[in-house]
Amino acid sequence: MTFEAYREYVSAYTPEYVETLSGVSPSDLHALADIYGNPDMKVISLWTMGVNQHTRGTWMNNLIYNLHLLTGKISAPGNQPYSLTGQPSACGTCREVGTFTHRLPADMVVANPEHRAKTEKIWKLSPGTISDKPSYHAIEMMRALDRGDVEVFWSMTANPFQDSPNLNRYTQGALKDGRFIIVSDVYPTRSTEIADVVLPTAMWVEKEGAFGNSERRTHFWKTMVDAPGESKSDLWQLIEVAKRLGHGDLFDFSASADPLPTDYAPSDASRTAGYYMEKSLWEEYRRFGLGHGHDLAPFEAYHASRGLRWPVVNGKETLIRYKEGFDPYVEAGTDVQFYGNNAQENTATIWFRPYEAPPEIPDDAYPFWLCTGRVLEHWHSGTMTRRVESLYKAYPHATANIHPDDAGKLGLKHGDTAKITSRRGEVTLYVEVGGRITPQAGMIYVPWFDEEVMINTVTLDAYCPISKQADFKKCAVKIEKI
Amino acid sequence: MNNSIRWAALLLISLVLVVSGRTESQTVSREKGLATGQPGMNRYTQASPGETTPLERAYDIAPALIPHTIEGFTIMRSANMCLMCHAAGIAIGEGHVATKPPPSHYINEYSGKQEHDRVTGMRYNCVQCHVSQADVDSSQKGQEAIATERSQ
Repeated sequence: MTFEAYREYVSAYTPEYVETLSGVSPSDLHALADIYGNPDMKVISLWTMGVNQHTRGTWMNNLIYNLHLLTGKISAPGNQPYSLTGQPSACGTCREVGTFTHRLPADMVVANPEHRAKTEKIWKLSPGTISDKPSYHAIEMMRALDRGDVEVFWSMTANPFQDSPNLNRYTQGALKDGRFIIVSDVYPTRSTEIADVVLPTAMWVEKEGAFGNSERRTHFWKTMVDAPGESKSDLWQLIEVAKRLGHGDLFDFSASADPLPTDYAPSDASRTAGYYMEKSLWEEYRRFGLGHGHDLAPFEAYHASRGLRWPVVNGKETLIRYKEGFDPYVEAGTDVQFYGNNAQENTATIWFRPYEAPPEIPDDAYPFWLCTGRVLEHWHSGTMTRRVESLYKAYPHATANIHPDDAGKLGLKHGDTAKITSRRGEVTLYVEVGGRITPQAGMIYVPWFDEEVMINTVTLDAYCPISKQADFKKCAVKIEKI
Repeated sequence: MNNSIRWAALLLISLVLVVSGRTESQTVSREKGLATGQPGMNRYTQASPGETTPLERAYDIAPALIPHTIEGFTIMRSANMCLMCHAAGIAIGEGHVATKPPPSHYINEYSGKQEHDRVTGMRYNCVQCHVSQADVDSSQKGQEAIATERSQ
């Protein structure tokens, strides 16, 4: 799209019109425009799930990127749009490694025949093994379980029966006849309550591995303490199940047989294999990214550093991507070069994204917006943080946080019990008015970390058709004193 | 799912362990399904300064929790009731001393230097990092009581 075409598309979105859609005043919009439009001002835009968890979450990300691309505030020290993703390793474990069903390692995708061929070669699969069609994404997986298209469901490093939206639908689906649920976790959770089999699992310090953070930093750790009881690492579990399903050859690195570490304890997977399994897997994985902008360093380099940001070329990490002088893939004299996606022109893509109404809007029957999210102390579903004394005591319970005006109208006081109901479910909880969180009038905020307050029985499972991220940030509810 | 798999599943359930304390193995006989939640209210300690001992920090540089009530405290840049005791680390109550801010709290984060002999102005909003602790039993015994209640 040309700059002129983009200008024409956005011309309908005057500050006055945007105020009617968003409630943000024209004066605030002008103040922001003055900051982004000032060529002498550097801007870093940071955002989290408040932008991402909407049915048009991807569009909102596109729009923020547009702003930075059009004003040139990108790929330079002090200038960058930056999505702080919810998981410490969401970038590494889901995207870079290719765990998502449509993806392959190193930002490759199953829809691309060259990417499939390269992957089949590295993994020593016969050509055509990898389908060009993605299977089920996270929400579709739950729906497939409900329908019966998925009968056996194995959850690792997640708590889907607390963290899925519209939870009643999926809990009932999982409890239907003919479903078999396996949950690997470190503690009992809501998901282990649904499970047919629970596999006791090593926690992060009890195993060896690597994180990939959203700043492209890969960092490694070693086993620091032994896992208690019969718990095993996720890797050990995956390999042992693969062996029993007849796919043990995919994890057979006996040809190279990297020697076990001598100055620290080998992991359970390495001890079982008799060679350094983590190193063998890393060196295989590395081959995907070499030479096309996703270069990772040899295994040992990470144990000798506090993490390295890819691409790592000739032992040197990349602090700022697409910027000459920082990124070795950028050609001399170009200053900023967006190589990769659009190889001919080396340019980024600007997307026009219009306004779209929410999937569910408050009405007379369900007059409030419900927004869910986090509190500082608790990590996602609280499996670990609710068991840390100081974090538990700082914020023990999830409550309904209400604006004083709304509380007054409803006759609700701080400390009352109430029921929040949507078209999908209900939850009982205590009310806080004037506590740590005061949302705007018309909105109720409930954090979802507390397994005693299953707010996701109320939330909506509409999701962004591009990212497949559910709309946890808005749905219509009512609240009643009980 | 055919019957042999179902039997294998039941066998596995009797073998595989739901661990409550992580190290102890035990089998559960409870029906599958979500137990009813037991919601709680965030109620913070009413103890006065000097009446309680601080909790151990979760990790080395974690902001300490506030083991006493701060209801009615004025916490502003010009008048900060926290610092009236904590800045000097005065002795208070039976054998208690107010925890002094560490050296980091005296450094201006823009200049990277210590500019005054008092806590830097950017840190006046103590409760941005330090929060009160709730009156709630977080001991292993308390956790087990919650788990037992839920499983019934």
